[in-house]
Amino acid sequence: MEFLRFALLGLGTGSLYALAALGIVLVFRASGVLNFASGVTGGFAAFVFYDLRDTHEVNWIIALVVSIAFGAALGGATHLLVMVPLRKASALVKLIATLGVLLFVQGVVVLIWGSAQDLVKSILPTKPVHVTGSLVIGKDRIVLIGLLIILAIVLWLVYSRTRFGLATTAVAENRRTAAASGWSTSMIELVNWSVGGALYATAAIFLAPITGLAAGSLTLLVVPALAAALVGGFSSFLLTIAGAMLLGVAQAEVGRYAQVTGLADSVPFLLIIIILTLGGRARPARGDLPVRLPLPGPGRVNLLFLLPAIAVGAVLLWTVPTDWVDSLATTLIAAVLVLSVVVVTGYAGQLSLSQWALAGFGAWVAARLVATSGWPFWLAALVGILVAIPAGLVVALPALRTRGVNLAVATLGLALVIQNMILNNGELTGGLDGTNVGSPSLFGINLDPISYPRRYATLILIMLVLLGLLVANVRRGRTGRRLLAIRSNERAAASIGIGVYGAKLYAFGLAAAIGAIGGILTGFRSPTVVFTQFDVFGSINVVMFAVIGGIGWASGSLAGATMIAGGVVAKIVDSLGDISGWLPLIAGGGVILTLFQAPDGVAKLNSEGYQALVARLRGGKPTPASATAATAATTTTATTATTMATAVAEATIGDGAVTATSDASAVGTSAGRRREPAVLEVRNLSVRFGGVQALKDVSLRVEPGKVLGLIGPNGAGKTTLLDIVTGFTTPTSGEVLLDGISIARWSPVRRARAGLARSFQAVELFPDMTVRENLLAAADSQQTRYYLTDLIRPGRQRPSALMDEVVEEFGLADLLDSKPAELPHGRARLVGVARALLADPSVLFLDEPAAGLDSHESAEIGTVIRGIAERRNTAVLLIEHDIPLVLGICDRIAVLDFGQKIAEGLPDEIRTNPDVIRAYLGEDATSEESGGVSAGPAESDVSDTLVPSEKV
Amino acid sequence: MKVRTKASLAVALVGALALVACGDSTPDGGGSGAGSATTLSGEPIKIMSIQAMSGPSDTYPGFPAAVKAAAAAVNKAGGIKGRPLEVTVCDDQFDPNKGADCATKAAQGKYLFVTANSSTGDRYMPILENAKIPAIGEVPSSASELKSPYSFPFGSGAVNIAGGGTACGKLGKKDPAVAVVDIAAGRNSASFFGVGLKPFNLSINKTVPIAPTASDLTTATATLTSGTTDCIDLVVGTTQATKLLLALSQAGSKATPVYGATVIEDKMLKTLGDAANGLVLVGSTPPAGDTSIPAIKQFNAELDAAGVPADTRGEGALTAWATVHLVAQYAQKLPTIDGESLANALSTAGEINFSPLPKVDFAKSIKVLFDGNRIFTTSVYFSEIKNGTRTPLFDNTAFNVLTSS
Repeated sequence: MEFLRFALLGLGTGSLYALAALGIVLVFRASGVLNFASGVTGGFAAFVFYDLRDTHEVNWIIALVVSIAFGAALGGATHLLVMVPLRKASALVKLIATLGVLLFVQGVVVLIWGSAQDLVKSILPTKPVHVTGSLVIGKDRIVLIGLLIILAIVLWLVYSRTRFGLATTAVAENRRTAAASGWSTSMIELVNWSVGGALYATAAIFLAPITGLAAGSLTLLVVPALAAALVGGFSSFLLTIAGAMLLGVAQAEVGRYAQVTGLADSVPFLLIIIILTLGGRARPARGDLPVRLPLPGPGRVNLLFLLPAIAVGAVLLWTVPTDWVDSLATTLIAAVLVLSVVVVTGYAGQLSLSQWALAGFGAWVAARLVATSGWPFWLAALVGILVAIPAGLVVALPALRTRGVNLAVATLGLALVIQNMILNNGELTGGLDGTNVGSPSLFGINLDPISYPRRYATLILIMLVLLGLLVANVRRGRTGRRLLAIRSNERAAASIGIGVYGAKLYAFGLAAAIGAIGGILTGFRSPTVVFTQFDVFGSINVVMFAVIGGIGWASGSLAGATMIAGGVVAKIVDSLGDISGWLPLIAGGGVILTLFQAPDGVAKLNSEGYQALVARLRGGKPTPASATAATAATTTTATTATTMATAVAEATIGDGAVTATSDASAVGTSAGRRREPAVLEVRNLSVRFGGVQALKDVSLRVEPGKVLGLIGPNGAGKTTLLDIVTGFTTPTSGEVLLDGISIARWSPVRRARAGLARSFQAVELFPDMTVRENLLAAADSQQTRYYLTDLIRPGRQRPSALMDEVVEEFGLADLLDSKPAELPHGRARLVGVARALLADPSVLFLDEPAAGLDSHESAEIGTVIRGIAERRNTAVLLIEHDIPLVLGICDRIAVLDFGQKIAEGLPDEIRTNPDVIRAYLGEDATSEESGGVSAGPAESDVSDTLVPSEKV
Repeated sequence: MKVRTKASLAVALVGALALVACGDSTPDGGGSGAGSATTLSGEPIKIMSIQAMSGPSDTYPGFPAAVKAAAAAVNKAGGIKGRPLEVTVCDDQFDPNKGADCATKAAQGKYLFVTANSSTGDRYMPILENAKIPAIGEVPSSASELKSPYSFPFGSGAVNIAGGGTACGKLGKKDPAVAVVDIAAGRNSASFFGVGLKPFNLSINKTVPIAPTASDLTTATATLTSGTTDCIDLVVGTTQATKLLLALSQAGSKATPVYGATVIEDKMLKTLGDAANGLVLVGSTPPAGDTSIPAIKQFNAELDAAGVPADTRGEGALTAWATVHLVAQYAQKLPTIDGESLANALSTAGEINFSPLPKVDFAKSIKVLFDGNRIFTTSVYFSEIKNGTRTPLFDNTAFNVLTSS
């Protein structure tokens, strides 16, 4: 009975979480934005409601309608005034912008109603209902649960059964396609933001009597609300409500039966994280788009700027008054924390909202060692840093199976667990006496931050500089390329042998260590360590500072960190006089405006400004990077044509086929060859996705020096076969053998390292890296030791002989500093092939390398492919719809139709095979005498977009 | 490009300025001449009130207002040796860095003393101690304040919590429970409740932790009221206490809630309405509204004169106000008016009997569970809320929490 009683009470609490979560899910579904301002938006409307009802004595129904409409207007205004200008910005920037909205709206609320909490009378009956015996629940909770059910049904009906709902889904899936279908995407988003605002308002009005009416009270609900939304996958209203109820019940039961500090709040999160981790996917599915992040910096260290900056910093620390030293120290420590975000989120693309908590964990370990065991500061700090690494790896576990917003919430949950169970635990932090660490010293120098604040601040400055250099080194080295590769595209990274798990774990581990340094420097600033300061909202703030400074820029760490409470800018504001009442409002507005101006961070703006200045000083005109790249791309197209002139000129087009000449042997020479040729064999491969038999008993053999063509209509299973062979999809049955050894259980990374390389139908270059870095990432040695050596000595970007050769032969020299987005389509495909080739494959898989190319470019790429097979003795499997190309360069051709191999043989045999003609080529194609003829689907310009039927 | 970059950086700076505000919305209130300082010609004597005036939790504007009112009265009476008191209110916004900043400012400005009601004591107290600036009349809520020789509290949260036990015992309760905020100091503080219960041969029947971020306290309420619980000591912040009292009332609880009076203001009681009925308050001074005591009458008169709203006056404000007057009295006798001299004077003063403050001897700390803490009084007063009004209990008699006598 007691269990039931608490389950019932838990449902009541869960109903609060659910109400708060529904609006978050609604807006996320429509716009992909995680709205941290949801609580305060609703809170504002709730203030309006209770003010109208209680102060102005407006009829409560009218007040309710007006307030909900106000919430809708506020939601719509957020979209129009903040999200629309940031439409092209990354999802992370939009998230941070909602934090700006939170500050702004909260500031307005405080200006009007003050910051004190008010208790307001509910519009619902609040008397307890005695269900039976001791089973008691308030009437308001019963009404709330009923309201939730109605809301869920209405939302479900609207979003699954109406044209508006379908349009919302379409906009969320693909804005461009939805617009092409005639939907006004802006209007749909506006309506959804408005509906979201109305939902927030409704929730807040009903919750205020329970949570209290204060500017910030509903903000506290965001963490459990996010957890509930996570259960619903940020899309399902019903599952979100179920998740919220589950969370409420679990908290109630754990709180009742296991009164351990923090356990009630932590266990539900741990369960969610475990479910998420077990239920997640090791790799994103084909077609999954990675969350776009702000552009990373190059990691270059400009000593001409850095050395004077350090000198200025040191001079300031030793000359300004001590209160300014404190502010500087606070800022510098925050910059250290931001560096940890730069590594884990900026470089590796893993949105971690737990860095401040990990900092606290490191501080806790070090401080307890000093306080309880009398360890010297340096040794305790070292151990604190080292112990933080495995803690970081624990936080990284969800990252191995999930990504994007799910990962953000999971890490936020883990931060909460660290805060609740360790940092807030009196048993572990010294109870009433606290953790007394006394005065730190190093090399015999007393660094007591109270007596010698300048010394301590100098230590912080030194640490910041060293860590900044270390983080910049990481960016420039092989490690940086690995991290940026997994940030951009995990599948493509795995395909060139980059260990995705290893890279993620490394990023989290390194970030945790850096964070721990920041935490230790924070904790030891007072003789008794204040652990309560390492809260979850601190972790969110650190990400905000990182985004504003430039999340992928080590040099941006300081710019963002100046904004921390108690930091340099706070000090400046203090000196401006008493404008305190307006500051939160100005704060929010400032954050948003900064993001408008610098969505990739202040550091990038500064870098561009610096480059422009240098160019001007040199007497030249500054040239935008993109313009340079575009020029280079144009030039290179011509150059490549010239480079390959011999081969192409000799290419004869006859019988509908491109025939490579002997000059093709000039492409893909054997320089730097590391691997022996190998045979790949596929035996009786079958795979079924639900009710669809994607492949059935397919057998193939790809031999060194030969090109095997694989053709068939869309949906035939070609790419699925490629995904299976390269390890991205698990077959239902059948074998994959490399030189006779079964590789069925090997991961994609292991297969890549064993010599299987591939290009992608959608090209899938790493968009945030230059062409040079894309190629280097593939050519790099993947040895683990570079994770350590790159910290100190990243080395220069020295291309291998093989890379030099490939760059020259592919005509990519002038494009090396371009970003993939700046390349013409044909060049991008060529880079994709070059990247695969630089992984030094024994077997190379090319997935529609000629898609979208004109006949001239197609001939070029055919020459390249032939050269790769002949000169390098590489086995090549070519999937292509360009039939002349396939017929022209392949030694043998296999044909798939509806997952089955319907033919295999020499090009001439395939051309005349009646089954192939009927299923794919068609009569017209075989009778064409001229070149450039493709089978139907190839003409449809498959290009970068996956044809839906190929997803089977 | 140049213009745009400049504009961008300018905007970035604005953003930066703004962000500070997010955790930093109210800077120190600045110096205040506190009334008639301008009529005094001597160099101002600076005192500081460290308070959270904004931020994520409840704030108590009554504290600094009382300090200012007292300083104004002192100045009106001629100041200290002809020198005016100048009050600086430093808003730490519950942020340890800001708390440290306040203390650093006090150290640099050679403030005479600081009175504080803040959760950031572990950051500001070491800085004050290093600068030899005493913190007087503060409500210790950190280990540093409980240990520092420059900490001179007239009350103690621990004693108030223990007083909850005394109240339960005095009221004849048999089955006491305690609700504690689930943070490091919270659970340990709960054990003080047992100290007050001990003389009545009672022990804590139930300890219910409440997460500081909990939005809904019905589950905690159900746990607290299950069984035969008849008295509940609330060792939580005022926000949670308010919610808890409301939830207890809604659940129809018959148990008597007990809470420390330091931060209770009439405003909160008005908000609670009927839910506050039966609440027993424990404080180290008599109720701030008990004007039958001359000093408290003077307190209310001075705050009236300063325009401080009546519903923001609680025992914490009363203590802060009395502290200023006490310091003014001692400072008059100091050959050199500085923090170190003041701290020495207080430490060597012997028993200090300054109404309405409790009697203390800062050379003699009293052991309440643990040795060495800066606890100098164990006497408490009780009052009860009846129909929204505070009524003294037990004839406004002070009881020793260790002996219940």
